[in-house]
Amino acid sequence: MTVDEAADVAGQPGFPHLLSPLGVRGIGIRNRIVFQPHFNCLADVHGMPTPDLTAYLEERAWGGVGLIVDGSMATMYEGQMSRKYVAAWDERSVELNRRTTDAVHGHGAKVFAQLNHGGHTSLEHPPPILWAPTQMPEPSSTHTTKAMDATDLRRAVEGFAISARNLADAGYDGVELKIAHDGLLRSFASPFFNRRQDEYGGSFENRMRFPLECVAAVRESMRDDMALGIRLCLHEYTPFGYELDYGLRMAEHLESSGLVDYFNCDAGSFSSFWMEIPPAAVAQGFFRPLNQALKAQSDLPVIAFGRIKDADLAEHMLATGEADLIGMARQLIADPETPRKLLEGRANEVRACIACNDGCLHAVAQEKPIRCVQNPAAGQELLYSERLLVRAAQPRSVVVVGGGPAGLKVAEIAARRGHRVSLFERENHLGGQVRLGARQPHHEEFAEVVHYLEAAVRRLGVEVWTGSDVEADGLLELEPGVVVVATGSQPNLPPTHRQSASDPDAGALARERGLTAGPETPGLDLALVYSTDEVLTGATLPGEHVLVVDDQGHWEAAGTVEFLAAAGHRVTVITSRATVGSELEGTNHAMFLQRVGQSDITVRPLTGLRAVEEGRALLVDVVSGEETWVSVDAVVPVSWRRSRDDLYYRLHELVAESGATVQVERVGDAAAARMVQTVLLEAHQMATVL
Amino acid sequence: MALTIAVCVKPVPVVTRLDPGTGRLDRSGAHRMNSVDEHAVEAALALRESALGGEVVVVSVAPGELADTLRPALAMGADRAVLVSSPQLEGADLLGTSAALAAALSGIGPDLVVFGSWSGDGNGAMLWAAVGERLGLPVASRVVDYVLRDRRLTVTRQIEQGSEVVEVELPAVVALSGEVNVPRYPSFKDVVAAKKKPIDVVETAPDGPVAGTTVLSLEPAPVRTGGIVVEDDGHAHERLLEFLIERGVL
Ligand SMILES: Cc1cc2nc3c(=O)[nH]c(=O)nc-3n(C[C@H](O)[C@H](O)[C@H](O)COP(=O)(O)OP(=O)(O)OC[C@H]3O[C@@H](n4cnc5c(N)ncnc54)[C@H](O)[C@@H]3O)c2cc1C
Ligand SMILES: Cc1cc2nc3c(=O)[nH]c(=O)nc-3n(C[C@H](O)[C@H](O)[C@H](O)COP(=O)(O)O)c2cc1C
Ligand code: SF4
Repeated sequence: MTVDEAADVAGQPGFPHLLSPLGVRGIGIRNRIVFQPHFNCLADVHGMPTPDLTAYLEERAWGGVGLIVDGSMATMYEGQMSRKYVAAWDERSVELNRRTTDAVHGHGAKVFAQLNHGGHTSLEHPPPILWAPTQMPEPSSTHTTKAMDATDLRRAVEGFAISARNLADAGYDGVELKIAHDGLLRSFASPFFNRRQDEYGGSFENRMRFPLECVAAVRESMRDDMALGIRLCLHEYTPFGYELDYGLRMAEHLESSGLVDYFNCDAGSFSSFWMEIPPAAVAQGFFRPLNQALKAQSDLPVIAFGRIKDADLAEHMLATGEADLIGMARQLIADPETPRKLLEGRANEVRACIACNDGCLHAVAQEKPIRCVQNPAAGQELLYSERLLVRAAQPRSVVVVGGGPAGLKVAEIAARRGHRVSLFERENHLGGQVRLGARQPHHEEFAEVVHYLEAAVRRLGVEVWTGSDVEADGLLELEPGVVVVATGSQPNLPPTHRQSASDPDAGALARERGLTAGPETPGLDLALVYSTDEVLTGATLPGEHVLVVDDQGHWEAAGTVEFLAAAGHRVTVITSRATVGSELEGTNHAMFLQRVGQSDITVRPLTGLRAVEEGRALLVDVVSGEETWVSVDAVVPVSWRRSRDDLYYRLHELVAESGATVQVERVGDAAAARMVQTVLLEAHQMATVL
Repeated sequence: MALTIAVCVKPVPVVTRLDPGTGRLDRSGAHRMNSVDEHAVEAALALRESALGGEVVVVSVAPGELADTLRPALAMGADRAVLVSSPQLEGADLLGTSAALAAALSGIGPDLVVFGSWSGDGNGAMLWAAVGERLGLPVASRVVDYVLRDRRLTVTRQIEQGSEVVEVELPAVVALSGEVNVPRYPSFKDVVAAKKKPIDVVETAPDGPVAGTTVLSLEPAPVRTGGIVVEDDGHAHERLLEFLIERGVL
């Protein structure tokens, strides 16, 4: 369905199961949507919750979610996976956490907290001392662990108990223990990681003993009206780890203790982290069989997890009894208002998570505050929440040139603020480079960046002109108050290259003025050289063997490699970095390399391009400096793009000449080629001050 | 042979939603030109080009604040627009709208009146018939192809059983299907030029009642349920067959 048609059939409220309430240990949850726990890195370096953290969760409560699981939080200093994990054991966190529980309750949602001991996993470099049942590194790491002794075991249980007490004091409605994809408790339960021969290992019951001691300690330390849940890894998805049958056995054992009120499903581990926080290459709803299996065996409420972003899928899962609650982490990061929109019959206004992991996971894995590609406000609600938008005191006539993400975002926010906005796009379709990216294999959901924005601007009544190539001369006749130049960027091939036929060189003025530099490799103007844009818009490349030069490191290069391979080419990809796709977020990179490994693509890292000639390319080993010629039929160099900025410079001149009072701005790739996340944030910032 | 061609277009809400309070379409949000009407505009422009001249006038009955939704038609190349708008027309149904349109069209005196066959909101698909009747003009609907020779228009109509070729003498009313053509994209220069083209807002209402129908009740479409999931244990096809036979589908 096109965006237009989708807008035509806007939904009436149609989510009877998803929007119905549920009690968990008598705690009334207003609907079935759960904001899944996730490290958001919004605590300070002492693990103290900040106003940003409170605002982050409050935004989701305002957005209508039923239940928030706050965390992970750490149970003790050893086991705090980053100094920015909330230090739940520390009494000083209580008052600060109370701000969060009060704020969330103020909007009618319930809030539990997740407790975790990091065990053999940490985000810190180098990691602090790592605790484990048996001394051995978690295979994704080179750092080994300390085998816990009796004192450590006792202290760890105490850590859970003290933390649970603090959480009760802070006003949480429940506590969830993580026996999931990282941390200590799963490593005790795991036959691979736990090789102990004492009462904590050797048999299934013994391996479950320590996790159960922690569960019991938590139960004893909190109020009776609080719920206790388990985030349970049901399948580790590693060659050495346990699978679903074992996960279900763990669940059964935990349930039979009588201490547990609900299960929250989970999968993966640090050694299979693409299954913990699955990128777009993992199908939506992939984990349904796990949820179903647990739900089938358990009498407790079950929260489903993993790549559930579509409300129809969520509704279907509940209606067919696959789960009792629907966990969404990233969908609510991308659009905190998802539940509210469903409730108000505005399902078609939901902004989908594109499962890129570029903003959320990529940031927190580096111990940086959470961000989101789709949602500029994520983690910085106090600055950029859409709730803070104010109507412009003086509605202005805003003309936006370019219908890529930058132009569309400016148009959306400016229109929401009451400005009269017209937007011009020279292609027949909106979307800019996003349309190209979405043609790459495993990258289709990228298109949803534009689906949301296009629906929004149309709904808001922005006058949208597609197929309309803006020239500076006519612009002022439209009598704009502001012109926002969002003309994007083009592959940086020599202006004499064939590409200019379809996308005329729009950097000439900048080049003349020394404001941009061209690529210097000889031969890039030859006919066998193709730009990514040409490739992705369907150019037929000559011959079989294509050389892709990855000087970019992200999807523009990596996805083009896969696109060409899927089209039947024999692809060699070189990069002067240590790995192809060096800028890809970790889960995406891991899965990309898996796919490359299973294909005929030849990868040559630490290799640069020196020159292109007809039928051959000169490569250089960047370590040894050794040069070799390889025969190729086509070359696709992918490096930094150049801004289409001629229009911006011309307009400034025109405005100066005419003496008109027109504000001229540029935004997005037209200023510097980048990634969607920073482009959308910049556009949001700009539109809020117009 | 210069022709005066009137194209009747309708602003429709971008998002179609029923207002359970009033039983009417929620018209509070943004509007755009009905998408099939773009095909009507395209046809009018193409006819003007093939007739080597004439005027294309866009006509609409809508609240005055929606005047800008006619701008795309002007950018595509229509010469001017007439918007009939009056507070009395609020809540008008076929009765009032056709009367207002017919009155405006009489003022223009077109050789040909072109409609899109249906609108994306009310979807009555009858306005062209009512207007033809009021003007006493022949009407050809569901037109998927047309040829103009002198003042004779030969049209191909989509009918249930196939297609039908009909000839009408101008002046006449035609209602076009979306398949008839691909609307042009206005160039940037066209858009700039359209800013200067006139949209005359005419504030009149027809005499007499503007509505002959009253909405008595409004039921939203039934909400979805989970449906039945047939897990394939090797016998799924049998269960599907049973299901279809039980319901008399097979
Ligand atoms: C193959 C590919 C994959 C990518 N993958 C990712 C990814 O996974 N994650 C990520 O964050 N980023 C990715 N990017 C980068 C991202 O798409 C860009 O940063 C982003 O699209 C820039 O947005 P923009 O609106 O500034 O420019 P653009 O997307 O370039 O849009 C500019 C628009 O302006 C129009 N225009 C230009 N001149 C005129 C004119 N004179 N009149 C009217 N219209 C005009 C253009 O036609 C274009 O539609 C990818 C880019 C490519 C090429
Ligand atoms: C940035 C980030 C951090 C996460 N940290 C945790 C965590 O601390 N504890 C946990 O149980 N799950 C964590 N998760 C996993 C999520 O709870 C969820 O299971 C996962 O994102 C898949 O669900 P989704 O597709 O709804 O996002 C994290 C997810 C993200 C994106
Ligand atoms: S950054 Fe990407 S994956 Fe993470 S929540 Fe936002 S859209 Fe989803």
